[in-house]
Parts: sequence; structure tokens; C-alpha cells
Amino acid sequence: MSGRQKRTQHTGQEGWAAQREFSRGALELAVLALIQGRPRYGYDLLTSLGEATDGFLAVKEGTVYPVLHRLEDAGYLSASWEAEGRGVPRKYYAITPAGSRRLAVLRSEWDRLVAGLGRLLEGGGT
Amino acid sequence: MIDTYVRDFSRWTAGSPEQRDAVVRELQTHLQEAQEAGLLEQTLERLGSPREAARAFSEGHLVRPARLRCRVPAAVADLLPLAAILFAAYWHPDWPGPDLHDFTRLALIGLAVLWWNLVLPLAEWRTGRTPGKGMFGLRVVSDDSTAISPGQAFLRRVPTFVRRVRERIENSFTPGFVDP
Repeated sequence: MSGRQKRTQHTGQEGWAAQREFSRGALELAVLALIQGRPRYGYDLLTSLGEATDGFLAVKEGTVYPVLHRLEDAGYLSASWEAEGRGVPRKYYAITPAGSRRLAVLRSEWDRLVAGLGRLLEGGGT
Repeated sequence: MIDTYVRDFSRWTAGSPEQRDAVVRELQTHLQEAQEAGLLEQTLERLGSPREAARAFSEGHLVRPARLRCRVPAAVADLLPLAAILFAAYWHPDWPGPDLHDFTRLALIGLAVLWWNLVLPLAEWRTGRTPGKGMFGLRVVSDDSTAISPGQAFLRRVPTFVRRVRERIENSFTPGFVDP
């Protein structure tokens, strides 16, 4: 079952549209967080994003690669071509010190957002 | 299937040769991984057409409008051959006999038209660069940062060409006063 099918099954078309909006803002944070764990290549990252978030961040190639390239251009990620054994060389992305600092900032802002929204929703918006 | 898709994708990908090679190679590896996982068809479906994929991939790269200090000398470099040809056609001091004069002049004007309306658009379409743009590190791309199509490459030149023709026609029929 694809990420989109899974999401649509959970929350319907409206839910899927909302998830798409949320995932757009959270993607950079998720990518940096996954790559901080270990260097990753595009295909690995794409599948991990979907699996780690139960399909919430099951995004397309055309979404993930531009984010990777933008983070690389910004100096938050470094990239190198490496091959495991006799396998096909893959482009691995690793986080840089600037990327780690960026991740810390994003994580802090995310925590503030979640806490603030949690308070707002529990209070019924009053 | 992968080779055909990647070749078309490469055609639409803009950027320096190094950037293009890196992106194309990365996509090729990605598609090979998908094929090994038995998910190539779904992956290609998500990517869309090669042009759509190139458009999406190019969003991650910073494509900045070129500065005037690069564009002007690049345009001058492209115009120099044109200027030289037209200079030879109209102001050559040691022009031979009248017959050869007319024929050679026509040939030179034809050469100028070819340079501006065929050679430069072809170069922009194939490589994104004219000789002048190449000298100053510029590249022509679409609004969506993909490489330009053949139609775009030729249409870019049309306004200049049409304007010249229109001016010629207008000048040929300039209204004047007749002294009775």
C-alpha cells in the first residue's frame, strides 16, 4: 500500500490535503533528523521518511531531491558518491556542523509549535 | 526504459555540466534502486514525464538571473560577428566589381541572418549557451529552470527579427511632402 493510499484510508481526501500542507513545512526538519542518524542516499531517505512517519511523510522524489539539493547548496548537508562492495555508487548525504545547528533550531521551533498548538487545541481556541 | 527516461530527463535539466551530470546520475541510481525493489513503474509514475521530473529536481538548485555586468559583455560578444559581417557587407572600402558586390553582399547579409536566427538559437537549445554566454558563464533556462525547448530558442529571437523587418518596411514607405 502506497503512502498516499494509507493516508487516504486513514483520513480521506481532506485529511490527505491537510497532511500535504503540514508535511511541506516539516520535511526539512524530518530530512535533517534522519540524516543526522547516519548518512543516507535518496532512495533510502525516501522510503525511511514514509516508514518512520507511518505514511505521513510519504513524499515524492520530486519533493525530496529538491530539498536535499537545497540543503546541500545551503551547506547544511555534504554529499559524496560511495559504493558498498561491488554495488552501484550512491550519493550519500551527511549532515554538516551548520546542518546540526539548523536542525537544533528547527527542532526547538517545532517543539514550541507543538506545545503552543496543543495548548490552543485543548483550550478550544479560547 | 531507465536509459530512455534518463536521457530525456538529461535533455531538460539545466545547470552547469557538472550539476547536470550529478543530478542525472543521482536519478539513474534512484531508478535502478527502484527497479531492484520491483517498484520502477510506481516510481516513474510519481516522477511524471522527464520534463516534469527535471522541473521538480531543478527547484532545489538556485538559478539566479544573471547580472547586467555579465549579460552586456556576453551580448556584445555574440553581436561582434554580426557587426563584422554587416560592416563587411556595407562599408568595405575595396569592394570588387558591381556583380560580385551585390552577390557577396547578399551572401554576407544571409550569413548575418543565419548567425542570429539559426546558429545562436541552435546553440542555446543544444547547450543553453551562445559563444558569448559561454565566455561569461551564463546559461539560458526557462521560467521553471528547465532547459529551453527548440521552439523557445527560436522564438526568443523572433521579436528582434520581426522588429527589424517592420522598421525596414516602415522606412521604405516613410511619408514625405511633395513640393508642387
